[in-house]
Amino acid sequence: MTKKKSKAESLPTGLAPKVLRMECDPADLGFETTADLRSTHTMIGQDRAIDAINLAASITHKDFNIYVLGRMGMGRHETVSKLISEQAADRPAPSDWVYVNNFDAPHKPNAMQLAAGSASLLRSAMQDLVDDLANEIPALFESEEYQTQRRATEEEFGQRHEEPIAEFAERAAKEGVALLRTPMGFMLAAIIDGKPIKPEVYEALAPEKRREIDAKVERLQDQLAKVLRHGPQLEKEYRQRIEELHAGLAERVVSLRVKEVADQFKKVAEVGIYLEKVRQDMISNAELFLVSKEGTNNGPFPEVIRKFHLEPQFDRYAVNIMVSHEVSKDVAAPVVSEDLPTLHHLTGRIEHISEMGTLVTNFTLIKPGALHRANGGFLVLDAVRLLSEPYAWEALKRSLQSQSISITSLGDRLGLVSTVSLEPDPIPLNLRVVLIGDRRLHMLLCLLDPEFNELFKLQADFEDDLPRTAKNTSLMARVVAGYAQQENLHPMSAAAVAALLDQAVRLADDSKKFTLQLGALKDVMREADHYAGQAGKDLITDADIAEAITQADRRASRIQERLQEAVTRKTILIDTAGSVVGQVNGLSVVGTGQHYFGRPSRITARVRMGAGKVIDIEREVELGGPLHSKGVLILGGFLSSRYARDVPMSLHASLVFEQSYGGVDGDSASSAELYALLSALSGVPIRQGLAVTGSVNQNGEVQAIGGVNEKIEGFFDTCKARRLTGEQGVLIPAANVEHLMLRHDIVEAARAGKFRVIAIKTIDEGIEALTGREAGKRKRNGAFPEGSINALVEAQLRAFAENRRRFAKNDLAPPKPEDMT
Amino acid sequence: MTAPPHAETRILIGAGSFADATAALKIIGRLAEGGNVAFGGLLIEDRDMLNICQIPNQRVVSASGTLVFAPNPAQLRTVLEADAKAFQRSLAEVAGLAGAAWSFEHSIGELVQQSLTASAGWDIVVVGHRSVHPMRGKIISLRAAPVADDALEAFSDQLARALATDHLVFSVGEQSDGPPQSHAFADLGGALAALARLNVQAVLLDLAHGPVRTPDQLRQVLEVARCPLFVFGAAASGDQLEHSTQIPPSPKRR
Repeated sequence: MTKKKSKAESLPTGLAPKVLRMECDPADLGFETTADLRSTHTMIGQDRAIDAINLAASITHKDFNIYVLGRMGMGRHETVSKLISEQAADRPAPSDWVYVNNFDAPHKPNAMQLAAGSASLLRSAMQDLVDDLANEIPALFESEEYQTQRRATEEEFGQRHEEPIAEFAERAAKEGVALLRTPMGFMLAAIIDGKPIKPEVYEALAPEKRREIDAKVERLQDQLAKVLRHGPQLEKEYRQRIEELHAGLAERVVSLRVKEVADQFKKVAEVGIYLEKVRQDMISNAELFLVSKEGTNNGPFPEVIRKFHLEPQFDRYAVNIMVSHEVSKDVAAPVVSEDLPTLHHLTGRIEHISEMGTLVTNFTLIKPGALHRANGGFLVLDAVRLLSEPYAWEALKRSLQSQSISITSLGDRLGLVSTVSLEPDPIPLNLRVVLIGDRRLHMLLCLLDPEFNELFKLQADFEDDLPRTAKNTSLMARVVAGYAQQENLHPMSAAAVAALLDQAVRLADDSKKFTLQLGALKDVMREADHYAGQAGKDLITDADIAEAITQADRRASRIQERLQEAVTRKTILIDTAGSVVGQVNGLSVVGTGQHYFGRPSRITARVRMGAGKVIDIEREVELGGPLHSKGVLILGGFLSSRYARDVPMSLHASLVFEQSYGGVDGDSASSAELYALLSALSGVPIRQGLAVTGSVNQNGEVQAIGGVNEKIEGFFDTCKARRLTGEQGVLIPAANVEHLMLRHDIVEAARAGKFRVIAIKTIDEGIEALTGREAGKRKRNGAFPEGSINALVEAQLRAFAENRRRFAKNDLAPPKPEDMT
Repeated sequence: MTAPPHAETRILIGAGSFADATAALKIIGRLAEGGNVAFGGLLIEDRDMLNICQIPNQRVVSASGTLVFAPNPAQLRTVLEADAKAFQRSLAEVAGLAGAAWSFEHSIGELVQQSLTASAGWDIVVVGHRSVHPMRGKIISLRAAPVADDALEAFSDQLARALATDHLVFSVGEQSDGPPQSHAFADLGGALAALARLNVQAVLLDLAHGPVRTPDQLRQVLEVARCPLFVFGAAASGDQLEHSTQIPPSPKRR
């Protein structure tokens, strides 16, 4: 009995130093420097994701778009780009697409598919056509042939106009009626004595004579009206004749030139149909070419080389290239990455220009988007950016569903702009979309957007870490070497690679794994390379790697240092020596962006008789998160199931994180809270040189937690700032031993016996280490060994129950001393 | 009406309404491009027209062939004032484009007589007549054979070029060796009969050289040509007209 007690009183030995940091041995790497190493640029440990990406890139069925999920710095973009580019290289270049004028409905431009590389040829051909006709048609209309024909027509119609009027004038003169002109038209009046009749003369005439004059004038008025009414019809015929004349003249030269263009594109029926419409339109609008000639510039260049196609009136014959692919040996399907996936950048947009204060547009102002450029290939988008752009996600889904690109203006969609717009033909879409994002967003999309799973049937889930095997260690070394080579860094010594791999282990938070956040490792390498260069070395050493890691930590540790200082100056009260009842050092992890560090927190417990309630003060004031509350409720379950089960639980306990003013969440302090509670119930003080982390279940088993390295280091720094006594250490769950990858100074302190890390599996082991007293196992008679922690706790709970029973009997007398065991 | 000083070619347009002035203004506008000219506008309210409008049930046939009642004097006054403003504005525009000086007046009387009366100091008097259709007509220069009026011919050619049309010469009197496009007539009546059936854009004549010399003849030409008349020598003809019935014309004028 005495021997056991003595064992419990002494502080447990703690884990061996080599367990605290399982370092990579440079000698095992098998090379001196990375310069000796055959580098590799292959992705390691991501076979699952790579297979998914390859499937997305090779499968031809629709909707096998892919969401690539994983943490930042995993090389997702690089991997996607590499794999997709490889697949794209084996695919043919997709078609060119252009928009041309719809002569029947200009607000609905026609989309036209052309063989790769043909779009620019068609555009040049149309520009040449316009330039040629703008020179040739005016020359044709200036020819004597045209002028003669036109004059003949004018003469013919002029005569047809004049003759009836002349005949009428003669007739009127014969009948003694004058034709007078007024501002409103013509007026007829009888002639008396060689002059138009005056009103007083008219009034003086006999009624019969007046009636005779009136009848004559009325008859002639009707005749004149008939003659003049015939005028508009004649003018219409004249215009038609002139148009026919123009068309006949223009037709010859236009047909000849258009045929030259059509011959170049014989194989494309659609172009032939378009060119026929162009031909008809050019013939019927030949005056466009005449007007252009009138605006002759007086610049230094001769008229014949004037770029008529640049003039706005010829936009109707332009070819607006949406996408064109150069034909070359390296032809491949496009891989487009859109960094700013706005609605307009994705689907394209219809621009407007201001003309006389009005916004106008035409098909030449249709601009392509990423969907046009990537059509027939791959489009890589960042999911967060895509979803944060208004209507972009909706537009992408709509395009994928309809397998076509329709251009809709954001202004039109929101009804903000009211001006002329276009309805271009949708362009058929054959595209594989690769979205790159994080897991949370993927989960939200799956949950909230039913169309997402339909359209993105594949997911490439990037692993966070890689098992730490000999083979993988070698592979990681080669990846590191490859990166050094790719980035033109100094070669790295084997020790430097080993140190970097140790950092990879630390980032993985698991001594059995390497992190696959290669971006973070690359940052360390680049900084180490800088230090090596500054020192004039031609090799990156382990010291450079250590310096890079230390400096990175230092840069991010301002808040950590301020907190540490507050503890040292006792602004934050933390004891690292002595023993106190109902008080224990818990450990928590604080994150400041990318930097995480551990800090101790004083947890206290107070108990008294009550109705079986454990009060979590953090929860009461809404500073505790749900996981923390869950942990506290588990404590209640543990206490009620282990102690004094035959009496009602009559405990009122309160638990608090002292000097905690922010939120507390997670259950990693639940074991510490239980220790404080047991100490308060038993009255046995807890060693303040120890800190505790670990969650607990209702069976009293201590369970693994996260951030174990940061927590240990946080408490070590606090102890070190006070003074390392050799009686200090941290209790961690045994399940977390595999996660240890502590700093060198802690390993050295442990080796020197100044600090210890104690792995425990149960609450009993923990309370023994913390109090130096036996926890005690329930014996056959149902009682715990006398004097053990558990016995003391049970006795206290029974006493509370007894007191409560007495109160229930309205016995207000204080309990007798013998009842207060 | 006083002519502006220092003008090289002084042109006066006389018209009974804005509709009659429009065709003349269009032609003048084309002619004035690049030339050193000065313009005058004269809107003449025709007394005959004013009188006839007062006859009961008098109708007007519009250019499109519809019949409407003739305006009453008040309406006519309003219309004429509006016409005067429009005439003045158009004249200013034409003059502005040519960088020419211009003046405008308003008078009452008979169109031809008033135009000739106001012609003192003007090189050319244009008597306006509306055009009833848009077809380009010919330019006719009416001259008395065998007098060769080089200035008239040169101006007629210039006008035909500016209007991109043909220039025909109507030669009245003895047969002469005129240009290929000339037509010879024994007397003015024959020339007017031919003119009546031609599509003519403008007729040019010189009162000093004939064959048209009197206001009546000028009226006849205007009635049959139904287009603006460009009258040369009107200013010089004043004395001749005044005394033609008393004193035979000067031989050298013939």
